[in-house]
Amino acid sequence: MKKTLFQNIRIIDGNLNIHSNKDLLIDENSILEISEPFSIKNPDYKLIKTSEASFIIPGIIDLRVESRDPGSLHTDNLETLLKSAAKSGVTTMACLPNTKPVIDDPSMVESLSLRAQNFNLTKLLIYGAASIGLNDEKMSELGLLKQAGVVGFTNANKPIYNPLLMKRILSYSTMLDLPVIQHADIPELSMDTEATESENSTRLGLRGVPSITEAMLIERDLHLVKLTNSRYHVSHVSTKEGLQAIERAKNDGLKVTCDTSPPYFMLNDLSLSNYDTRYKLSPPLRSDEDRKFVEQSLKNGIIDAISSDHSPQNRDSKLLPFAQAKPGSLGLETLFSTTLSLVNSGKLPIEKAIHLITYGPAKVLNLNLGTISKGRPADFTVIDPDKSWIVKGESMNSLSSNTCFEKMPMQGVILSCWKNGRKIF
Amino acid sequence: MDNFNYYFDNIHLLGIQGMNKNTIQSILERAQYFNQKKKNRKNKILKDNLVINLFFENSTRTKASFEIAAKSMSADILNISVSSSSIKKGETLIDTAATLNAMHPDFLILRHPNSGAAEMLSKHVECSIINAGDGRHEHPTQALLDAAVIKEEGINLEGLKIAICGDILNSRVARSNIYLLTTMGAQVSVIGPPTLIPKDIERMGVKVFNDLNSGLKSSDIIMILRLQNERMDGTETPSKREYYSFFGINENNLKLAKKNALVMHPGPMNRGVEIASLLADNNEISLVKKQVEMGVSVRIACLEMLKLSRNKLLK
Repeated sequence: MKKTLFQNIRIIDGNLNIHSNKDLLIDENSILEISEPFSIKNPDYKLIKTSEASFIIPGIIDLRVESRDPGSLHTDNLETLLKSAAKSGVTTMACLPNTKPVIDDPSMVESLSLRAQNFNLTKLLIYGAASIGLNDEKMSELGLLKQAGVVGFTNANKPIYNPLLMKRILSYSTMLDLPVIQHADIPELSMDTEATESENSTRLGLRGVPSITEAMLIERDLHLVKLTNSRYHVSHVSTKEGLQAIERAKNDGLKVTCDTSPPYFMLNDLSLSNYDTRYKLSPPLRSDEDRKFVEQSLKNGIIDAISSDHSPQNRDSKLLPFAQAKPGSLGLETLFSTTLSLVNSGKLPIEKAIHLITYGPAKVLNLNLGTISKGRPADFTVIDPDKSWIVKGESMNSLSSNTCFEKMPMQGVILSCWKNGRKIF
Repeated sequence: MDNFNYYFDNIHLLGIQGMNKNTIQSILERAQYFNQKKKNRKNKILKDNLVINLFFENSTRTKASFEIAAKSMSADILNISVSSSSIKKGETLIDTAATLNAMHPDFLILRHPNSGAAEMLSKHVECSIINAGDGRHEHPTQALLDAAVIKEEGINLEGLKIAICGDILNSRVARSNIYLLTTMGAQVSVIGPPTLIPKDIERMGVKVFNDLNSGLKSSDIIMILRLQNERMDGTETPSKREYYSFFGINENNLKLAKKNALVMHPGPMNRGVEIASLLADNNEISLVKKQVEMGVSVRIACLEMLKLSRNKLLK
């Protein structure tokens, strides 16, 4: 088998904290050897020379993306999604079941995974719908969905809200040992709202949802998680109270994990001041106090992972009055740089930042990934942490261009991305 | 007209927020000037200008007032309301505006149920946008006309004690008035049940009262707002009769305010809900009719102000 050698390159590993120059030898599948610089010599190996500035990190793992394919092909399709992921250094990502039709049937899982596999790019994992049609009424065939390959169950952008259904889903999922992924919201409180309730929403005349809404559902769920001894993961957590609830549960030894997304540590609700619909997100942008708490929770380990929350929306869905515009932002191609910004601003050491987009998310889904060590799949990304760029939605690999980081200067670029020893970007 | 300076550097009128004292003062002064000439105010300021009234919500007084203002300035005016247009056929606001923009209007007067609609539109058209009410956000000409009426009564805004009473949460009139009155140095209180007071409104520089009696105390002016049923889901207050018994203004509780205190209402009024019918009709105390009258004069001033900005900025 053909072997490739990266000579004398810095490796940052989110798990093992290697942070020195090494030689890295891979074949078309896995990592064969990591050793001291210039210790591996063989003229048959394909030698990859990298610039001094570059690093190798494990392939990025993204816990939350939305695929508009099947269903809304004018918004995005599977090919652009996978290319965007590869360009973003993401080697594995998990997509929500809110496609059209909804992924609540094993055949849907098989067809989407097969189609994704054929592109030979980023590995697409799939969450199954927790309830049929995401209607929060009847449990999907969770067991058959697992057999078809799903990695968790969720109602996507809607909460699993019905308390009896939630209790049963949590309970049933223990038999399958898969996590239940929650979007923590109270529909009656958030219905028709456009922003977080605050001085800013008052000034703008936008309908506000109180930020404690998130914690209200998390607190309820945690009682049920304790009762059923199940695996529970909260997605895109954005509030102080939500994180405090999760921290308590973790201290109590419950099997609870959570992720946040870059908008919730990069931006606050003052961004809404011009009614720019790029900043309309779900959950909505929060106060700066919440933003700072998210930042702190990334540091102290309450948050397990950073997910892109990649949510393409076509131009027409955003070119509307704020109340009518659809929520969501592209996230893949800014995931790495926004995470790295925490390092550049002195908030996180680089190992910790890399951990949050590699080994951290891998652990949430119990994947044998996210670390660079001998025998593991050769999934990794070569980065230049210093190179700067400006975010431009139009030049992203998507049929949509809705990024809430438009025109923001970023630092850190992806130089190449390798999946199972094969260069996919 | 060329000599009058509004100190205003924008071709759109989207809200009172951010408007400076000089501009407000100038508009009020100029509105009072036009109001004196109300029997004979025909002028040619907007000759050969096309004004479009684009109303996505029902309106009687605002729409009529803008139409009369534009006509008295010799503009051509076109009224479009939602029920008779392609908007009901699913056209988006931007498409409708682009279509109208292609007919080269000079002014587009917009009323829309969504906050921020006027600001959004202003980024997509070449004509001047006048915000005639966007959701719960702002209704700048209403606040200006309210202030002009107060001035017309010979009352100084600086130091004036004004209580705004009612559905503050859903009211764009309240927000525009708070911006204007606090900018002009008035002391503003808002009165209403906690469910109709939006979060952190104190930070806009007002005092909050949930008790009508203490809120009214020593007020010079009481601005009464309508319960905005179209923006409510029915769970904000238990019933109209309970609302009236706690927050309805009548000649009795008005006695708690200063002697000779005056009452205003932007209309349309819900008699027997937020205001007693007798009080509404008492022209000694109620400024409601004068508000309507001043509405035309204020809108003439605003149109003139934007026309001057257009002449200056779009040369």
